[in-house]
Amino acid sequence: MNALAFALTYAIPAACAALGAGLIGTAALNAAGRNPEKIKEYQGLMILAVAFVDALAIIAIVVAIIGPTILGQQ
Amino acid sequence: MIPAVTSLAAEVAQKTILEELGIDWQLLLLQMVAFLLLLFVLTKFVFPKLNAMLDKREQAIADSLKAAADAEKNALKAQADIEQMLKGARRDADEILASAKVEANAMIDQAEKRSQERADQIIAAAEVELQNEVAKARVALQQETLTLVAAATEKVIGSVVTDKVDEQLIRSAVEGIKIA
Amino acid sequence: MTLLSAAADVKKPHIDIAADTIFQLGFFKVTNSMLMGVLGYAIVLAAFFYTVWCLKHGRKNHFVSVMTWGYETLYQKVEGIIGDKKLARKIAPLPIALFFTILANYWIGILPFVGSVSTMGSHPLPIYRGLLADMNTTFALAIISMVTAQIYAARALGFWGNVGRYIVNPFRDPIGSFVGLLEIVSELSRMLALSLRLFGNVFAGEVLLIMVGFLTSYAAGVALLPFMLFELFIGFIQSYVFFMLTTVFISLGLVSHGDPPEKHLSEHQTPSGS
Repeated sequence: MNALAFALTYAIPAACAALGAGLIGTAALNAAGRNPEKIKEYQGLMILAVAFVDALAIIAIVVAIIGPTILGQQ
Repeated sequence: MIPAVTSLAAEVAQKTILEELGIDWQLLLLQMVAFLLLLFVLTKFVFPKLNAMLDKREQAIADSLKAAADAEKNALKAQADIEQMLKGARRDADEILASAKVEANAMIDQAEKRSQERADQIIAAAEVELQNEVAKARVALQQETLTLVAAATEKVIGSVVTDKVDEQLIRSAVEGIKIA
Repeated sequence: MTLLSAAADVKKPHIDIAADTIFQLGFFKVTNSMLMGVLGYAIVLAAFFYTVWCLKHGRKNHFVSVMTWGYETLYQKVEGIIGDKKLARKIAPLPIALFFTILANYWIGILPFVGSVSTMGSHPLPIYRGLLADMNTTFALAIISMVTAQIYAARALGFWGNVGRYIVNPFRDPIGSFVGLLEIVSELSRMLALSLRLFGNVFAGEVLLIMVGFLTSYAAGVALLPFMLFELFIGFIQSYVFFMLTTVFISLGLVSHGDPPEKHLSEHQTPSGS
């Protein structure tokens, strides 16, 4: 049970983050398709947005590691 | 009994979340001070010089842009000047051409006139000469005739013609030719 | 015999979120990340002073060109986000220093001796650990960024103007007071997100390198190479993101909500909270 909790603590945020990053990539590529001149701008904005979403998945791994000791279990 | 309870308590004791993450207020303060020190050193010694370099570069770019704009303006002005000069030159050329034509025609007319005059002169001179020749020829003829007549008369009369007789005979012969 | 069982007598790698104390000078605990931190800061200072010295003496080489190009690009990004030139000159040092600090410290945390050289004794602790793998540092940097943003907002809007962003009279403007509450929450969440994002990336990278090194025990020399390159790339991205977010948070504080939205914010407006 503990192992399941540990695994799911990271798995669910990671899945949602992956979906979010995919949506960001889709939007960026759509915009680039409509206006190929500004690809550099879109690239910068896309990386910024992906970093936002990525952060949440990373916070999830930290929570997964420190969670058990906070809650008094091992 | 008591050591067992304390050990159990120690086992169950949970760390706070800050402890778990390793955040210690002393270390936190230390890290903040370290970074602020770095920031201060950089702002005092490094960034002004880098900013000055950036400003210089921007100034150079602005100057070169201005120089390019000035050069373009000068080029346009030079172009306009050139066109003006060309137009003037063309006008002058046309004028010169026209005046040259007029002059040429005038010269031709003058030459014609002069040659005409010369021709007339020559003709007149020739005529005068002709008249002189004719008169001379006439005089020579007259003399010749007189000589012939004297010789003939000598022959006819058979005597030496004296001057008086000669003169008389000649006069009557010449009058006879004149009438003829 | 699999690689794993061949290395079965090697102890499991020691992964710890908190940085461990190596030795103590009196009451002052020196953690393993501080050692690398000294090296990281020394590298940043050396790079910058060398660049300035070369510029003064007119020597040009590739390193100086790269540093000046990097500085120019970052400075122009700051100027682009914060429209005013004078204000940008005052604000720019913090994000740029943050960028170079995070970049240098992240990259030297990928070096092979980090995390593998341990102390002797029954509980071996790694002697070297990247500065940013210590939550103290990232939290300190995040606090400095947000406090700077508040300071510049107070300078631009006045102290009470800045407070008025967060605490609005509920009787006059109920929706505004709710928005003010959300703003407070978003400020705290931004600070947390900044620190945890950076720490999480560094920590996850270190754990990744340790685990891959452990699993491919004798082939680690070859297998670690793509992961190290990946970490280099991620390090650059994370320092750039921290730089951009700091600049954007400072610029968000400078605008007052009464005015119509300015042009220079429209492309960089981030949603409150992350």
